[in-house]
Amino acid sequence: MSRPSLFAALLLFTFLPAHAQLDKVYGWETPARGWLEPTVWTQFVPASDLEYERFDGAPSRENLLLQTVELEYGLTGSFAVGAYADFERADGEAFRYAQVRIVAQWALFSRYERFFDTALYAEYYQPRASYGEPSELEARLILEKDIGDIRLRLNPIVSKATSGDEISNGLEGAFAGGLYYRRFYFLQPGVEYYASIGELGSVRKLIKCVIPDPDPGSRSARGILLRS
Amino acid sequence: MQPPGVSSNEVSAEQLQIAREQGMAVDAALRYTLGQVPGAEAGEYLVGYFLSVPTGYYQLDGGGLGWNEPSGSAHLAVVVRDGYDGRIVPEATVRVRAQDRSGREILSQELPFGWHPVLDRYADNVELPAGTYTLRVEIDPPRLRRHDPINGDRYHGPTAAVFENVVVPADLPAEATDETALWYGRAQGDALERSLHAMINGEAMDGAETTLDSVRLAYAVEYAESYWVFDGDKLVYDFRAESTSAKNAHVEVATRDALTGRFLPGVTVTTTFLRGDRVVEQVQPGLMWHPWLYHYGMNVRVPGSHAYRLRVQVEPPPYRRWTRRGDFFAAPLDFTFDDVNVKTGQK
Repeated sequence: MSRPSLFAALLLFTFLPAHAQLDKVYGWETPARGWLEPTVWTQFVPASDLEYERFDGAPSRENLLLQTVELEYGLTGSFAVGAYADFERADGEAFRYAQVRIVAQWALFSRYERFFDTALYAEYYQPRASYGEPSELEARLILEKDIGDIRLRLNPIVSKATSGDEISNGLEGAFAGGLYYRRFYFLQPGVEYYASIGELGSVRKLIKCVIPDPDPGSRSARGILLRS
Repeated sequence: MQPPGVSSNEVSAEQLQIAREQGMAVDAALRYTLGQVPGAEAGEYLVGYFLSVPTGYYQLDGGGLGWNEPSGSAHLAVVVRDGYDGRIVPEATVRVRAQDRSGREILSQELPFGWHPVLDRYADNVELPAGTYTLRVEIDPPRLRRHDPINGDRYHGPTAAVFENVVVPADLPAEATDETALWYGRAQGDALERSLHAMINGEAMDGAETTLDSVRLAYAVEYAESYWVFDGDKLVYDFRAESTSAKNAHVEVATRDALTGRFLPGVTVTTTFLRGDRVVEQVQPGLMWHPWLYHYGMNVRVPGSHAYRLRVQVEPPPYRRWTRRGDFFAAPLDFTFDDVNVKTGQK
């Protein structure tokens, strides 16, 4: 059975210099078998000192708008495939298509069957030529644990460039993690932590406030505020 | 259009089979009741009807059960079953219209749901003189909440089944309710019991069943679960159990008649979680469709993973209990299960 279900937009307003792609710590849940889940994600960077290095460049990332259209489909109750199309608009520039991402996620075991709800996640990035980024293959181990009203998510990550000058580089490591307070449906604050390992390694900590969609038929949030 | 019946995160192929076994037991009872039962596929349902001599019934009347003598010229019964698994569909609205050969409407009325020792049905004693009729059965779907993101997406819109050339004889047959007939009722209860034990002993964190006079009362507790709900007239899958811990457990209650072991729909259930004598959560779980076990269910909020006491109060069924065997469950039940182990966010 295929059941299209339009999910509400998810808005992210970031007050940090943002990566080109949306910051996201992935969770264990996959769509139900036969469910098609379209989602729109939007992230806005109101203030930043960093240069915008994609496409032809821009004075800074300030007022950068990042938008992702996601289509995810549950092939089984525990295995899903999906595609993301990323779009960007730097300050004063046109709104442009940036890259496509193909993803697959396999949730291992049933929820709460093991100490961690565990999933494997693979993602392939294929940027537009003018975007200035190599194509890349990324794999994540997703670990999720509920402790009362707290949900812990851990995403150890390895990635490998598959084109461009960086193709000769080996595997690169990264880590993303999040801690969320889920007691109330309409307000779910959380802390996220992103770290990349290696020469260009960096650490960022974000505080999020998730405001889920009031529509009970949607599992997307309507808004997320990020603060450092 | 047959409703879905596929394995999902709520049901395995084996569990779908035990649901079909419940339906097969209903089918056997139908065939026993009147031999070759006239039936038709109608939308997502299997609809059958039969006519017998008028039948008396018990119904709540003031402080207890009152007996109502047979009336009218015929007992008209409609059995609405799920098109996939054959289980009886409760809480639908069923209306029947009968036209004679000249096209004149002889009968038009709603048939209320009722208990019967062999086969539950939507039925009434009606005035329908001997003759030949066109019988139209109109079904408005039950507004039950439904578990299961795939299989719960069923019973969508009004449906009708039309039976042509329905002959009402002058001497209608009587339905048997002897021990042989009762075997068919008990076979349905036995099939349900397999589902109930699979839930209590396999799926749930905790569960038990007890017999209180003429009623069997069971509970199970699970993790909070999502389900389909009506948003106005639209059926939507409510994800909130997944996206928040505001509700962190799910309580399920099943009531069965002790005579046959069949499920009793349409009763009012109140569940109260207690720690010692302190009430921590009280809800009235409504009837919930489930791919292999109807129950009264609701997501609840408990303070954490603990052993609780679970008080279950059940009002007697307000609907008709056909035949003299319906003289049971006249007063409310009130029972407390001790040491109910609820786990939140952990196995």
